[in-house]
Amino acid sequence: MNLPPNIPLAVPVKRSAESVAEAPRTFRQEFRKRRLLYLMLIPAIIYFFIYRYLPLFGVLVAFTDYDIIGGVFKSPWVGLKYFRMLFADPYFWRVLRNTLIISIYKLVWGFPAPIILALLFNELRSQNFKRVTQSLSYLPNFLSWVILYGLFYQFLYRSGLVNNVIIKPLLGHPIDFFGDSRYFRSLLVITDVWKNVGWGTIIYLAALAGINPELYEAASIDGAGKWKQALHITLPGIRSVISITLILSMGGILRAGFEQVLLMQNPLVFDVGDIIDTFTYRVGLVDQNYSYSAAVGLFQSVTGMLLVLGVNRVTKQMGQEGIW
Amino acid sequence: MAQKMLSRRSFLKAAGLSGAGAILASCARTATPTPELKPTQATDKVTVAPTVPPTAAPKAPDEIRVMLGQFAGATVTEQVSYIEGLICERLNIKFKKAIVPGDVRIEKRNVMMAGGELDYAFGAGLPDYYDLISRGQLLDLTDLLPAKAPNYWPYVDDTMKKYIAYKGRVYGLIGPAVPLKFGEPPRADKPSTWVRTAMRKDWLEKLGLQPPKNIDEFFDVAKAFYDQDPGGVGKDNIIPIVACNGFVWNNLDFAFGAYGVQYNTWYLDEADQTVKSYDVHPGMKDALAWLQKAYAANLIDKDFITQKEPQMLDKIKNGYVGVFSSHYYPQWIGGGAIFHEMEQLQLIKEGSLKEGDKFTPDTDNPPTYWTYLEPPTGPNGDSGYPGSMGYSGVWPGCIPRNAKNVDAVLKLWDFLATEEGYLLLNYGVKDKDYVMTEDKGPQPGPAVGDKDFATYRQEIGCSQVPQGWNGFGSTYPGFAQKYEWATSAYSTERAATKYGVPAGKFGTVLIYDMALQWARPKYVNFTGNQGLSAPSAGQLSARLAATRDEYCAKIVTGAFALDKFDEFVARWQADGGDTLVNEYTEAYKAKLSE
Amino acid sequence: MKMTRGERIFSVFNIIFMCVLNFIMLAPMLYVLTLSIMPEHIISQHNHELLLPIPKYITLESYRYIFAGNSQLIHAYSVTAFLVIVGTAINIVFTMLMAYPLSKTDLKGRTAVMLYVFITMLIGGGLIPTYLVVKATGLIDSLWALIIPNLISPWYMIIMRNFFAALPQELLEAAMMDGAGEFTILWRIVVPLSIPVIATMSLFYGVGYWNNFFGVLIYINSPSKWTLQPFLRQVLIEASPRLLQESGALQEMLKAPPPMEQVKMATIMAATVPILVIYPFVQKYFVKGVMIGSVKG
Repeated sequence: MNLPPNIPLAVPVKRSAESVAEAPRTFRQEFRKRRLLYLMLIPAIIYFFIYRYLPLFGVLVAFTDYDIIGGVFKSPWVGLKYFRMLFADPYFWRVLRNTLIISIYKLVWGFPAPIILALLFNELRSQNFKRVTQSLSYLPNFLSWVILYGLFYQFLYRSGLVNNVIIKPLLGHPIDFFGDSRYFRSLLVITDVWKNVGWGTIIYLAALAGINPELYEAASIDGAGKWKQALHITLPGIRSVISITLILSMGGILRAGFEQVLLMQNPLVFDVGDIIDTFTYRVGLVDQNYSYSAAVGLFQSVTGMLLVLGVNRVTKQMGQEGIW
Repeated sequence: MAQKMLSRRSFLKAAGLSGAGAILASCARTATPTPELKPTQATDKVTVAPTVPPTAAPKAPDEIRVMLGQFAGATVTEQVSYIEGLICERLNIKFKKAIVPGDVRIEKRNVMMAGGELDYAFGAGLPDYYDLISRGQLLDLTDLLPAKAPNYWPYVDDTMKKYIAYKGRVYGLIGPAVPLKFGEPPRADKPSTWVRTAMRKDWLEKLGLQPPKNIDEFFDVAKAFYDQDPGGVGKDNIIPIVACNGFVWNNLDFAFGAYGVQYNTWYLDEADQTVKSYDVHPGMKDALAWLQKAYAANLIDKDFITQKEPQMLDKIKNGYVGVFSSHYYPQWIGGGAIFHEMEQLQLIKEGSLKEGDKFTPDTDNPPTYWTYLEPPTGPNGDSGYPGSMGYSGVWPGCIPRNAKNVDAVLKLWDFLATEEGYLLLNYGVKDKDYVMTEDKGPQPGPAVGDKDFATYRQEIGCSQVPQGWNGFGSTYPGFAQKYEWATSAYSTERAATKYGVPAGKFGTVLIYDMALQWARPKYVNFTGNQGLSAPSAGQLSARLAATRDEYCAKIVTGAFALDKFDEFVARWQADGGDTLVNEYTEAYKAKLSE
Repeated sequence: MKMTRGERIFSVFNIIFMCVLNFIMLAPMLYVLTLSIMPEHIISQHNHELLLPIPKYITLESYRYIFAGNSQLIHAYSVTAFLVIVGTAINIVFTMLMAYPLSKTDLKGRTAVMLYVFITMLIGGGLIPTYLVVKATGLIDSLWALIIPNLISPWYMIIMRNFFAALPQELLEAAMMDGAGEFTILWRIVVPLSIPVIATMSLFYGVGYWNNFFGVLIYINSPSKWTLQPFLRQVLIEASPRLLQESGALQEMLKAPPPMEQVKMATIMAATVPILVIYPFVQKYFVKGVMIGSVKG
């Protein structure tokens, strides 16, 4: 049984079987019960309205010459000026390219990794070993990028442990992970995967936990090996989670990890490591071109949205569960 | 350009620059004033009230809101220090401090400002200050000051206006300077920070070399350090020239100076009366060529772009480093004051070496002995360090347009400009924290005991207001000068005239001195210190800086050929550099015609 | 159950792989720990190749340096703890309240609400408009500004909703037949059945609080409300461990400051160790929660 032992399962299950069968609910009852459900939604709807929808008037900034003193509504309307500026800016194309490349790398490596790891965790037989391994793999996620930056700099810089122990003996010279354009994206991807892979397994493990063990029993009685079970029971069991995760990760494809990149980048790797978010940060927040950065932000959002909707549609057509 | 980007960093330095006050205050223990130091007991000592009406009826104190940066080496706290308490009581005001991590304070301020809701006063470096004024974000104080701060207003003389006036209007406040010792005046004859270069004296002696005078000798000495490894630390470890954070930390400015340029600095081209940037000056290419050559010869730290200050300092302390440049703070014991540590440990040697000393007591590394170098000269005889690098001694306190408690701030400033306010701020309570003598000015009072001035001031939180509010208003040596005890006891007059500044008009804002000491006036950032602003500066600076940093870093490390510099110049001009040149030149001409 | 040969080989490789993985996860942490407790010159002597500390050289000097007289840092720990505990609890309650109704597939308007939520996942108003709203709701310089504007994460809410939807519905219907209200059902039946997802979401939210820097920067003015992250950032980015010092201790320390790198590394450890200490306790419930059901009979 996949339920915690402290829940009085037996009794309600029994009753439900009987009562569902015999007593159809009246409309009145139905409404009363539903009303409670709607009531539960109210705080959430209010919250989303205030903190998620009200700030959306900020996208208007992208169409105005934002005047700090006047605020959004008193700023002169300039239409698509900042979008034209954006697409005419060669620097923007560079950061867009970098963002896409880094995101896609992160997706290619970072998306399947937790799925595979979750499946492997699932196959570990020793519960103690499994627990320890899982705990260790979650650990990096508790550390902020600030910490990780300090940690990885120490570990990976030219005279750090990795260079001294592994790279120098192998290659004869150290690799400057932080200052060499050839390695910087790998650094971003590796550290990102390192930080997130263990944590990412949680959602899949939770999904795995939801698979009915009877299915496995039945399969092994039918003579299906582990591999077949994984293919025919486990994967289909977590398929919906996989597709949802994938769809949602599309929304972030133009956001390649602001904090991580901001901390790790330096002039030597701007050409490969400067991304839209760091660009916006400089242009918008430091240089105070609010309209321009709002235009960039809107571009990111709309692109992300289109991607999510597109992929959602495709997955649905493929017969998978979409996000709604 | 890119002053904005720099100003974050420079602000860090300027926190130390706003005089010893920031320094001392930064270390000030404000936690719990001991009972006998309660502000209440001090009121009887404060007698004169030149402009401020006596705190009569129990009225709610006026709130002063101020935003402060929390910087390395400086701890500002929310708590009201002893001295702050005394001032609050005296003026019936209270402070509300917003404290922001120093390196991101501009971001935070901009968010609050863009929200149109910033009502905290704050400090800004000059380029930032002018940018804010030109965006209409600061309150014009020109008409308010004579009425609300009559004691302070006379100090806003022509010299001060030279720095803080914009089109003839004053938007910023400059705070009183801080004395360094009992019986010593606020220093006007010494800059509070400048760049210095130190070289391993023991290595030089071991190799029988003289300290280099020009940039070629400099290269040769560094090369000798690398080739001959006088310290015996091993080829892998030895770093003849160390630096951190790329170019913006001033560690390599000696090289730029030798070629007649400075990184991130604007200058006036006398020939055609145009304001230009050294970033695209031909000399910049020569300097980069030298650096590229040195880097290729393993003379410059390979990590100089990616590493931060602690790594650099540890390398210095480990005895791996042959020569380095850094900011020198005569009085600052905060972060980065490597020279201070070295001087304290007597590792800077003018004479010959002594055995026995160790750089840091907890390492087994051999002692390192150092000597200061004059900046090396280049082929055209140029040399020197930046005069301001985007910051200067001037760091005006700003009041945003929306601020609600303007009167309270002005009341405070007015008070600090009185003799009473000045003494209270800097020395505490008369006959307790200090005693006034005829010939030596303020001397330690009974409460001070054996402690020296600095320690005592730390304890009571002296100079927390306003200099100790890091970055909020810089210091102005002029304040104390008009008082009898000050001028008679100190030789500031002489110090002032020495640098050609008229004694009576104590307009020596610190930049003067910095320019005149090791820096050359030509390396003083022209735009910032002339109060020039370009309307587009704020919108272009970070981008231009990023482009420049990228090209320069790649050229020096050899990832780009030197010729790429020409590409950079073209791109810089197209990306808005030319716009800035025109705008600054316009501003300069407008200023001339004023 | 007997394993086939292939399965055995797989199992062995799996264990080897996991060991490697454990090492990779642990090595940087170990290295930092070592750097923080070993004197600089020993590290240098070993050419930065020490992964584990050599016991006889261990020094806690840098830790003493960080904590000596530093009440601010210690205070920051308690603020962070408050946020993590109270904030997470509030998040969970509201996320659950939203996820539960939405898990009813036949609820009218469900799709509309999902769309309403979903849009916000894709478009944000940006920093400044959000700041204005937070300001308008009076939360500036309050720790609630870090909690309320992030009350419900749409992403976590969807996960929770999916989990609820997968619960055996007969159970809930039966309770309803017995006259239990939706709140009772949620509390008495859904919550106990959903420990795995609640534990998971709690960790997600909790880690968010632990690592929140930008929110603190933007919304908090008083350092008495600073969490750990601004402090850490100061030390690691501003790069001066001296920042941690308050007055008196500084004078003393200045005479013999530990190497800055060592202090930095000690700071990293100081920020991580509380998690390491707390984690096993949380983990106990957490792993149990997640793993229930995956224990095969």
